[in-house]
Amino acid sequence: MTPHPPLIELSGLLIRAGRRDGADAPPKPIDLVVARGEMVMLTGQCRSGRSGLLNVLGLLDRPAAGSYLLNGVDVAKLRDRERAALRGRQIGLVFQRKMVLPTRSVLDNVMLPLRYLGLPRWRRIDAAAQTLDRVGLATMAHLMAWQLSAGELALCAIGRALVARPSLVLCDEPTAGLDQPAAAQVIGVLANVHREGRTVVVATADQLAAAYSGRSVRLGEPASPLDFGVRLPITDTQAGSLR
Amino acid sequence: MSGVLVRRTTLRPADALGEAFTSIVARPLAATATGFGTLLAVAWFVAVLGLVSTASGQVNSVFTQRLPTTILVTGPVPKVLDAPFPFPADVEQRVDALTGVVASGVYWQVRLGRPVVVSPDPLTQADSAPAATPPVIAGTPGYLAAAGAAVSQGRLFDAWDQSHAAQVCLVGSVLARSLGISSPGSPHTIDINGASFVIAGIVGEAGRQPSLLRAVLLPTSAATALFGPPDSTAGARPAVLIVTKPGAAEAIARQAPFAINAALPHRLIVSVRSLPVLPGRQVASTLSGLFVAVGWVGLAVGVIAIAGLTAFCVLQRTPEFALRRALGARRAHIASQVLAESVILGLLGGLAGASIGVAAVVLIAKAKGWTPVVAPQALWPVPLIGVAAGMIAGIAPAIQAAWIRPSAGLRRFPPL
Repeated sequence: MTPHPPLIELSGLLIRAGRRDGADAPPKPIDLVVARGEMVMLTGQCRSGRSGLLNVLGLLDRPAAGSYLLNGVDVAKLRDRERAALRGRQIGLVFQRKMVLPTRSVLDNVMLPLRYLGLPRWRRIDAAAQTLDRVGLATMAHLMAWQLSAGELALCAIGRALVARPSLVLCDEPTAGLDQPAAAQVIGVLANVHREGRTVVVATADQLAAAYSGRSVRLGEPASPLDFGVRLPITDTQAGSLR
Repeated sequence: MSGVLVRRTTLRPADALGEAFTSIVARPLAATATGFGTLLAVAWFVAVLGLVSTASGQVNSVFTQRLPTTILVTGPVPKVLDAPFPFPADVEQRVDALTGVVASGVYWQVRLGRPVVVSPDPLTQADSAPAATPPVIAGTPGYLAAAGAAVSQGRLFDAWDQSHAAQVCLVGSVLARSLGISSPGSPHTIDINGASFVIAGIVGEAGRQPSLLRAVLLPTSAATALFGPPDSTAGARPAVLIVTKPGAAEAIARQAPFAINAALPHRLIVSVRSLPVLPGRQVASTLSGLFVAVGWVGLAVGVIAIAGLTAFCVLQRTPEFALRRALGARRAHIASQVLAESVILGLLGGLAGASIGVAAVVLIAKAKGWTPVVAPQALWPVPLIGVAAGMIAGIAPAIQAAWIRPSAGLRRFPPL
């Protein structure tokens, strides 16, 4: 029986430096392997390229160089519609700024990805209601998104990322701007997702969040083997490495 | 996950429409501005079309007033002397019964086989009074009406004069001047080859038979009694002059022979003045072409304006489209949503614009005293024009939205 390839396999990956990243974008190629069911924290200093790396992992951006194998498939060879299909069905994205449509209800926001899966409305509502229940927003389903607090917005965004039952969940600073109880609630939801066997990659500068992870990878460090394994407080496992 | 074997994302048409409706409702100001642009463009288009139809109707009505309204019916050229009178006695009643006939009357030129000398009556005038040899026309009162005869002085002879073969006459104003007749009472009578006729009036106007101004007019009954029936062989054939309503001449010309002589209609000769219809239609057609072009130009300008407005809205909604792309929407889904929004606004704007356009036509026509003309069948496709305008205006913004890079668009997401 052929063993499953790692879910994520980056080799010599260079992230395209955006205008906002400027000279601070990570200049060094990234090698990273993430196995199925792992929960990995991407840490590093501000502008270390965490969000850029998540954009590449989420198929929102193409890398400047190097290869990205997702489930053994070189995503560079995928057409736009195939990348969209992977984003819609297999990847759940939680953005740093909790991007939701403010004039839509919480339920509508969570249902949004399901619109592109061709599901009938009753199934979309059913799935969204279940997800809201899971993240603790069941009672707020019919509130407008702009009425939510920061913590509730984060949970709403996580619900939206989970509603299509993706196998890979990518979170960019999910606890940024949250107070400790809200951050703990968010981390708890992500930990549950991880326990269900999904792969979770979180980019965060929050050491508390990083502490919940089984593995932490620090970006923006010198490309020296000596610097690889230093992770706080949980060190990197053998599954991944950063050159 | 099975790599590229993942089923592609899909957006059902109902969901695309639902998303479009929800987006329109969520942004009432932008939607109103875009819809208002469509409304103005379509209202302009409908108003121009309606005003063109109305103006064309006016032009046609002006030209219709100049359409032929005069028909002349004559009998066959007789081959023998004393040929029978070619018309029945009640010819005028028969012709007047036709729908569209305004007036009709029988007339002929009186010929006596020798020059007709008309002069002021020797009994009442001096011998030195001038004489002339004008045409003497025998006509019915109906003929006077058909010829458009109107007196400048005195009166026209009437049915009583006709039924009593009264020896009265009318003198054309030009002839009256040459004879030195200044008024019906000075002198009272004129002499026609020895027969005295009382001057009933002086004909000052005869729009359809201007030659009457140089002639003497007698009732046909008196003419027949004094000078005998018309001498057809002498080229003075009796005729029926028919005046019709504008536009009815052609039909009356076909019907009149049957009304006058149903047994032998083909023996009657009917002539209608040639029809100057084409210029009127050409003028209306040229005007229509010109203004319809103006309407299309207005619509095109409107479409460009709507496209600009929609493109601006797309620019503002870049983060939203980027988010949708990040959540699995394909470029086609984004484009279809923008197009659907544009088409819905086009449809709504088209419906409202058509109503406002028609109202504008009615108000302008009322202010001008015209009859508003808007063909209902021309209005049915107007909402479709709005749809088409919305679709055309939405194409460029839809492409613009479809090519938004998700990562770039997401960076512009406004903070909540």
